[in-house]
Amino acid sequence: MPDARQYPRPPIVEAVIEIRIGVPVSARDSERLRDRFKRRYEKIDVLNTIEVMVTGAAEVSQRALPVGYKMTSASGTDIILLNKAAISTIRLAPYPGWTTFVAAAQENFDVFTKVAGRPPITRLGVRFTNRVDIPNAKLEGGEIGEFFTVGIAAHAIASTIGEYYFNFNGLHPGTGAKMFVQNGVAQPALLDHTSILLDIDASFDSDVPQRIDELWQRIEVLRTAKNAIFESCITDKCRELFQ
Amino acid sequence: MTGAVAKLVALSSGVSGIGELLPIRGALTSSVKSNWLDRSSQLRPVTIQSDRISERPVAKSFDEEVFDSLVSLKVAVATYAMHLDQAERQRLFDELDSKLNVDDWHEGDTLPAQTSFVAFLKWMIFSKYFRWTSIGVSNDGNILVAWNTPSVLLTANFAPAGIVRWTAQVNSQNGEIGHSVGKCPLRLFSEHALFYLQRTS
Repeated sequence: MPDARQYPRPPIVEAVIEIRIGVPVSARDSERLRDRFKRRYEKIDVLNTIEVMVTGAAEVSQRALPVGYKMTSASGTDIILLNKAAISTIRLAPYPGWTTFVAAAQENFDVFTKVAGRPPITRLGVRFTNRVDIPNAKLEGGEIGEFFTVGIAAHAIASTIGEYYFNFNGLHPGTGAKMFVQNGVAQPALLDHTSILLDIDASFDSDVPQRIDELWQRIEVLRTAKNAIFESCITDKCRELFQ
Repeated sequence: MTGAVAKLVALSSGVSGIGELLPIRGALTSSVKSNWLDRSSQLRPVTIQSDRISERPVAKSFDEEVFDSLVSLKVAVATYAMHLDQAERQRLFDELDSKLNVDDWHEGDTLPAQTSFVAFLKWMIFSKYFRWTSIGVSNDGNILVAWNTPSVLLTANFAPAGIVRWTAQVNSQNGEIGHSVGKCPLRLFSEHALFYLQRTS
């Protein structure tokens, strides 16, 4: 497989490899996993889901249910999410490259299986969130469409397009991966810049391999899909911003 | 009872929070995400879905709070990693490590505000002036920064709202000393600061 295009300053703000399982991790195993990962991911936050119940009489009650842990490395850039039904290896910027990132995910999943066993795997996901900071000076007299090949086509009803957001899902033709793509204007990260998010999630949730070697091969396929989707969504003018 | 339980759904679980989209993203995405995974959820009589994991802090020791604060500032640096070179990131990390440790902080101290630190990072990237001398924290958690050149000592207090209070002490070649103070938004502070910091002597 040819190497993906390399950028000196990739706009990736968050990279995720998630493995979802069919049998929930027990509370005891969840605690054991937390303790095993604590040396590498020292900052620990307990995750809860908030359950809201609305009755016919418009009475609302809520309760917090612990579902796992978010654990962060001392550097602040490496994170592991341990849910009852999934393990996610997360890397914030600066992105160290796929080889390093996937090695961390493999190591984490290895620890996970040693502690929690080998439950059936139900979904594999690779999600990359990119934030492209465009100098406002480059946007004057132009439009965001010069930077992205996907966007809002509303010229018939709007002379200019300001803030926007859209998403779509589909199947990636080359790999058969499911994709969920989000694109829109984010809070500006820098002064005099416009920040655009391009969030790509590629996944398999059927015929998910259960053998370890095949599992990581499929994750490589998801990498291929997300790279292809990213490159298809941006223009050369956009690439210039992070060359 | 017609209650429905919040579900964790759809996307590969990230921690996001970084770069929230401007529109009412929660409302937009939850409906689409539920379509993606479970169209039947639309038929339920009352459904309030939370597609983002909430984090409820448990009681932490002060040592843990100091460590968490340090990590949160490093996460802020990560947000701007593509605009800061590796050497600058390491210099920031070293400074944060030296300033935010349990030996120098005590119960009751106000830990640094991440938003204040982000204001400083925004200013630094905007001004393209990276030669700060030291970083500290005010009593109310604002980030304090000092720049020391042969002719100028400039200090700044970065408030979370993007307002900077600054002082400048200028030493002339013939030994005269002048003082200036000011308060302005980040963009204007860039002009003020560079006026002083780019003096040759």
